[in-house]
Amino acid sequence: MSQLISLCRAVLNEHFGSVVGQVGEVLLKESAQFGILVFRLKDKVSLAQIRKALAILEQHNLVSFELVNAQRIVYKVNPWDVLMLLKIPRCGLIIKTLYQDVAESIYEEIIKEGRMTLSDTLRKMKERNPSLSFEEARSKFETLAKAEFIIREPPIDCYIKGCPIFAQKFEQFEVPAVTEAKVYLSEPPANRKRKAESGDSDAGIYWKINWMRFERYIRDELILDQIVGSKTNSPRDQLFRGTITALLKACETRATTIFALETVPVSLYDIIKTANDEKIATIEKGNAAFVLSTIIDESNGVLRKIGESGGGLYVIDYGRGMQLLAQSHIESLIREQLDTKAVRIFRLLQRTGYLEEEQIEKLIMLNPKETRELLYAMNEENYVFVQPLGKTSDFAPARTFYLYRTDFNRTVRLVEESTCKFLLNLMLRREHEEKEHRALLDRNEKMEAIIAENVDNNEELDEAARSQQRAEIEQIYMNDADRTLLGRHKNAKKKLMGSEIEIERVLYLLHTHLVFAERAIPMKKRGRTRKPLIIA
Amino acid sequence: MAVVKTEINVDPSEEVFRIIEDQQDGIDNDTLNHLTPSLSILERQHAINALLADQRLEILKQGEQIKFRVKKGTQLAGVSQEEQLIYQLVEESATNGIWIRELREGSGLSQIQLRKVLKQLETRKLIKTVKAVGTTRKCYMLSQLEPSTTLTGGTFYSDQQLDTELIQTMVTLCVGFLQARRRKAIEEAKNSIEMQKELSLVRPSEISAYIVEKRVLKMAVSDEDIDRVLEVAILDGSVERRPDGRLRAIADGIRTSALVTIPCATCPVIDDCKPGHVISPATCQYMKDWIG
Repeated sequence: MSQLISLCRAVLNEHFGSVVGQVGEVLLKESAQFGILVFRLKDKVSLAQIRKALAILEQHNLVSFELVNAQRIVYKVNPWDVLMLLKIPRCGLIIKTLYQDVAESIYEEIIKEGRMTLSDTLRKMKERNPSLSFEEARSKFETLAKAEFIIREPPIDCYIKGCPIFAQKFEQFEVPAVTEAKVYLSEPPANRKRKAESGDSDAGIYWKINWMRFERYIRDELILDQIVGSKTNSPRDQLFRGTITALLKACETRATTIFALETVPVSLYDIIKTANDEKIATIEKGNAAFVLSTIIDESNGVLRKIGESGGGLYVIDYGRGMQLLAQSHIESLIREQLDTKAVRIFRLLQRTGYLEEEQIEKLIMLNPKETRELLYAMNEENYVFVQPLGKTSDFAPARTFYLYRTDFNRTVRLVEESTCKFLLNLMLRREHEEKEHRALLDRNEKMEAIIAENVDNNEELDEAARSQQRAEIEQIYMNDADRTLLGRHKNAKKKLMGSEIEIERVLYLLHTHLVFAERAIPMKKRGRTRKPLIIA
Repeated sequence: MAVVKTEINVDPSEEVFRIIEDQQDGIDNDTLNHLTPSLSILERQHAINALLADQRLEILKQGEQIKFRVKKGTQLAGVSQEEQLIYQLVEESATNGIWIRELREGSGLSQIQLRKVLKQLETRKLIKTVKAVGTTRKCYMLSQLEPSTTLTGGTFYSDQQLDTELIQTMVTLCVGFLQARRRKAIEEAKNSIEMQKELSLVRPSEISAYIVEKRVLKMAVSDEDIDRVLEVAILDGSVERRPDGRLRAIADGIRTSALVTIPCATCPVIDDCKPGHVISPATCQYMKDWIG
C-alpha cells in the first residue's frame, strides 16, 4: 500500500505543509507512541514542530489516539480519513446544491478550522457577510445538523493518565440554544488562549464535518447512476430517477450504519410518500410499482423485491451495485490498455472459472496466437492469473495443465493501488505546473490587485475610461506571449483538477467495493481458497 | 480325404485370393501359410506372383512385416507401381487427408522416392496438399475432394486460419439486427415499456435466417455456428439472453471510465515513473501532450 501512503502524504503536504506531511507519513505507516514518532523524525523535524503537527492533525480529526493497557497513548492515522480531504470541493458542491450559499459558507468555515462551536461559526459568518441575519445563519446551521452533515464532537468524560476519554452516549446532532445578543456581544478578548474560557453559552460544544454522511450521500449518488444511468431528461428517465431517489431517501432516515450491505426494506407506500413529501417527484402508485419491477428486471440484482407487505418491499443491494460499478471501470481499463477482445476473455473467465488456453480460444473464437498474446498481456497486468495443475508431482511443463482464472477482488485491489499512483501523479504534475509558472502567476495577481484598486473602485471614471485604463495596466504587466501562456496554464490546471476529482471518485468506489466485498464473505469462509473446477 | 480332394481341384491362386479378400487390413505371410495348409510353399508362391502380376493383390510394408492385400480403388493407367500405391493410400484417406509420414509408413518407400512420386502425382493434378487447422502438417488428398471440417475447422476458417474478420462481421451483423429490432420495438410501442421489451426479443432462428439472407457466408451456416457467434456478442455485453433462449440488444453496454481519460492509465512506463526520477510526472511528455 505504499502508493496509498505516498498519496496521503502528498495530500497532507498540500493542505497543511510538509511538516504535517512527514508526521502523517510516520503515523500512516505504523501506529506509534509519541516517543517512537519523535525517534522516527529525529534530525528532520524539531520536537516543537512535531507537537504542532500532531495538534493540527488532531484538530482536523485526522489522527486518532487510544490508551493501550492503560499506560501508553498510541496515535494512528487512517489513510482513508486523509483522502476525505480530496472530497472537500465535491462535498461543498453537495451542500451548496442542497442548502444554498449560506450553508456552504458554514461548511467552508468548519472545514477551515477542523472543529468549531456554534457561536464561533456564527461570528465568522457575520464577519464574512455583515448583512446576513443571525436567525438565517443559525437556522442553516441547524438544518445541516439535522441532516447530519455536521456532527458534534463527543464531550470529554474524564482523563486517564492525561489521555481524554470521550463520552460514549450523547446527543450527536442536537444544536445548543444560543441567543443573538450573547453571540455577537461576547467579543473575544484580544489574546484569548483557550476557547473554552470564553463566555459563550455553548462553549466546549464543538462541531465537525460528518464525513460518514457525505460518504453515504456520494455512495447513493453512485448507486443511482448505476441503476438509472446519468442520461437524458426524458420523462421516462426522470420518473425512474425520481423513484430510485425516493427509495434511497426513504432509507436515509432509517439508515443503520454506512457499512450495511443493503438498505433496509422500504415499502412502496413509503417510497411514494417520501417522493411527495420531499418534493422529488410526483409518483402514482401504479407507476412506481411498474418502474420498480422494470428496474428489478434490468438492474442485475442491485434492486430486489423481498416481500409483498405495504405494496411491496424493496431493498437496494449496495455490495452488488458497487461490484457492478467496479466491474465497468475495470473493463473500461482493460479495453483501453489491451483490447475489446481482452474484455471478452475477462468476462468469459469470470463466468466459467478455470479454463485452459485452448478452451478459451475456442469459446471466444480467436486464433491461438492472438489469444495467447492477450492472455499473457492480461496476466502481466494482473487481470487474469495462472493456476498450474500438474499431472505428475514434478510439474514438468509438458505434463501440466495451465489453467487461467480471474480473481476480481485481487484485480480491484491492484487497480486501486495504481489508481492511487495516477492520482498522485496528477497532483504532482499540478504542483509542478504551478511552480513553473509561479512568476507569471504572481505578476498576474499583482496586476489584478492594481486594477481592482485603482480602476474598478475609482468612482470618478466612466465606463470607457475604465476599460482604457484597464487595458493600459494589462499592457504594462503582460505581453501577448505571457497572456497565452497564462491561459494555457489555467486550462491545464483546470484539466488536472477536474481529472483529480474524477479519479478520486473512482478510487473511492473501488475502495468501497473492497470494503463491501470483505464484509460479504462470512467469517468462517475467509482464507479458504476455491477448489479448481475443470471444465472438459 | 474328401476335403483334400476338393481343395486340389480349386485353383491355388483363387484359394489364396479368397483368403486374402476376407482380411480387410491385409494379411502377412505367416498367417497366410497357416490358413492355407493344403498348398505347398512353391504353389503358394506361384499363386501370389500370379495374383500380383494380374494387379489383383498388392504388397504393403508395415514396419518389418510384409502384408498382402486385395487391391482396391481406382487403377491408374500408365503409372508406376509406386505411384499407384501412393495414389491408393491417398484415396483411402478420403476427405480426411493423409499425412506424409503415414504415407511413408504405409508404402515403405524412401523419403526421396516418396517425394518424387508425390510430385509426379501432384503435377498430374491427381492429388493436392491441404494444410490442417492448428498444425503445420501438410496433408494429401485427391484433388477433386473438399477437405472435411475437422481439417478446415468449420465455417469460420478460411485458408486454414480462423477468419477473425468474418467473425467480427457476423457479430456486428447479429448485434445490428438485434439493435434494429429494439429500436423498432421502442418506436412501435412508445407508451409501454413492457411491450417494448417483448417486441425487442428475438429468437436465434430468426437471426440465422437473417444471416443466410444477407449472404455473408459462402457456405451454409448451422444454428450452432450462429450460437457461437451470439455467445461472443453476449460476452461483449451488447446482447443479453433471456432464460427462454431469446435474445435482446442491451441499450448501451459500454461506459467509459474516468480512469482511461488520463494518460497514466495506458502509460507504458508507469512502473518506472517516480517523482524526481528520469521518468517522473513533472517531466512526463505524455502528460504534457495531454494537458496541452
